[in-house]
Amino acid sequence: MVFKIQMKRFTAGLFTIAMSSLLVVACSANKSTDSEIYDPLENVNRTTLKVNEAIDKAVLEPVAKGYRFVTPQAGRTLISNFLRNLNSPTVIGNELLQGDLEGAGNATARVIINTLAGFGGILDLAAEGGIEHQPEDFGQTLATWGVGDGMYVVLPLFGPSTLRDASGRLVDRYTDPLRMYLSNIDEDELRYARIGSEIISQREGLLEVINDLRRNSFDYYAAIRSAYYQNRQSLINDSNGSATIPSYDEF
Amino acid sequence: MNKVFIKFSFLLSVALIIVPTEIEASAVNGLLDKNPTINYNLVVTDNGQKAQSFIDNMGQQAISFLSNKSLSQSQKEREFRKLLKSSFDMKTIARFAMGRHWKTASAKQQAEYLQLFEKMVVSAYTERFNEYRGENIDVTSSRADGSRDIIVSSNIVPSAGSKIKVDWRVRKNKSGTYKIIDVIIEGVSMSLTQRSDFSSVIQRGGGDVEVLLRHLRK
Repeated sequence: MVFKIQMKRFTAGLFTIAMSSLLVVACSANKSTDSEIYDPLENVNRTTLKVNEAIDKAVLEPVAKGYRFVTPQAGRTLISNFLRNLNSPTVIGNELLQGDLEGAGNATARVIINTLAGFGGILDLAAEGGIEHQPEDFGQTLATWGVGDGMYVVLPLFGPSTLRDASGRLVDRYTDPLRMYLSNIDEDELRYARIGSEIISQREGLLEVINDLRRNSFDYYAAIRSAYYQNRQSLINDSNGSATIPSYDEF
Repeated sequence: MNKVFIKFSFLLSVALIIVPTEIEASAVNGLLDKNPTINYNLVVTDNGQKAQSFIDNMGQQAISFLSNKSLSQSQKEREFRKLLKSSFDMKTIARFAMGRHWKTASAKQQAEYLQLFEKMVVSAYTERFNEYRGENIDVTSSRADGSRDIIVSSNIVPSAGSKIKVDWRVRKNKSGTYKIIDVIIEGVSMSLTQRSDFSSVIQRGGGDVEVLLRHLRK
């Protein structure tokens, strides 16, 4: 018992340090191998990535491939539409927090149209009508508030992230009304089913991308780190309404 | 302040370390989230129009050999090389990918690198010809970027499933022809990712360009 409490204290302390460095790092310009990216834990991150890769190759990737094999594209689209629709409260909330009223309006219109006319969200009729999905999360919200990336981290199982995005992920998870509802009514199976199908559905969508990065990079770690940052930057910029093309500076 | 901090960080640590059973996303969550809507201010200049039709033509050319079932793999490879030569500025792309290390390379290394780079690109894409499933390209808009470049936006539309947003960085060279110098898929620049990869290899190899060349020769 005492040991447990001490462990908790230890991890809490560890994360206090981590979080404080988030604030410090946000203003510092100390960059490493990739000129844009602050990655002081590179060695730890590389090890975590290796472990994640082993797990992915043993479990996730085969499951995602199996899912693709048994489910036709049309069915997979229905499933990913449905899961995406379930995530709407988070999207709407974050649009509001970012002060993006138009985005919040679009996301609200989407969930109404797709839930009512799209058979509970399995059809994305809103997108066909021109209101397309815009991914939002609390990490992006923090970024629009001016919080820097902190530093790059590879989370066990979750994969590439930053201190900011990892914190954002937690906030999103614990404020998700559907998650709260399901846990309040003790429907843990449904909750896990949702999480599980999200993982498989997303992994299936990334089969080619990951395969490509694995096959065509010499340093997979560096390639995936760069791709993660660029993609996040483009998502963050979208919500500001500005363009998203990385600059092409030559040396 | 400190207490709040500890509480917050404690929550974080509990969620990240003690309850890792709830896995919410795949290894690369959001790396390729489909369909982000991007509204560029349309810059419909004369150059923009030309660049758009250049990308459209290039896309149709690619589709025509990819979808041609009577072509053998090696014939497709020949067509692909032709397309690379006519539509891509491979030298600029290759130089960009090496970044600041380009200058430290000897002339001999540079020449070998340019050759190996093209070979790498061809072999990477040749492997993927049979992944073509009837996708179409839909050029949507263009805008100027800096004084030299035009970004042409497009969607790659599969016969089923979500479309993918692809932007093309196009540069007009001195003879007035357009060439692609970067492909940006869902906000991820292929050139920039390549450069991160290469520079990490070189840096971890002690700053020696030869280390990268050794990888490329394999």
